[in-house]
Amino acid sequence: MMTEERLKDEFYLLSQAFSVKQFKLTSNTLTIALQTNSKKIYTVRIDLANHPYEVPKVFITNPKPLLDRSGNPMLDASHPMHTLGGENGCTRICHYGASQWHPGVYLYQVVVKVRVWLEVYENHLKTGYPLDKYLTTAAG
Amino acid sequence: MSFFKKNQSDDCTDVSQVIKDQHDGNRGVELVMNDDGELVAVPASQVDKVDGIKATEIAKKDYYSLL
Repeated sequence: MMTEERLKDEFYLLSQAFSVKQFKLTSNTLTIALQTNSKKIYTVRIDLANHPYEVPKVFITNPKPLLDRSGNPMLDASHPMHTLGGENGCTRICHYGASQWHPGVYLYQVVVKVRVWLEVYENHLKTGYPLDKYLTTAAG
Repeated sequence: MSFFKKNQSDDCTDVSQVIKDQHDGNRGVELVMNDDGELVAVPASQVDKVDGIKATEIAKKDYYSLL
């Protein structure tokens, strides 16, 4: 669990990058609404149970379930689609690999990566290309 | 300043291509998340003059192996 000081730092950094109306941060969870360039809005939940010592689980909670171009729920781990399965009908996405994670990574950095992931996901919906056409794999 | 026009229909494709270009070692354009949360492409030569989060800087440090 995060220390109170870390929680304050996370909140400050998030508030520099995003509107405070966009997110809700507790010691256990970060929930944030992200709007893509196409103006679609997604809701993201980040599990902070072991943050900052382990890679946090990141879920797309709305839309639920997230669908691929073919209309199939993205609830399985998929290397080409950069997903790590699903829980409770929500897609878990890949961001940092375990080998790249360290406690100095802050949540705003994770969220920016999620923001990039969403843009590439929308490109998948448009073109059919898997996400790994554009994103490389986070090892570990 | 940005390469893309706002609300351009193929915006996500352009953004994705910038990310791929970064992977391929082309640092000529950077993605910046501006105050509106929009990801815009900015020439690397001008990126220091732009307010916002340098998305591709965050990306390439850990997640995206460029070489």
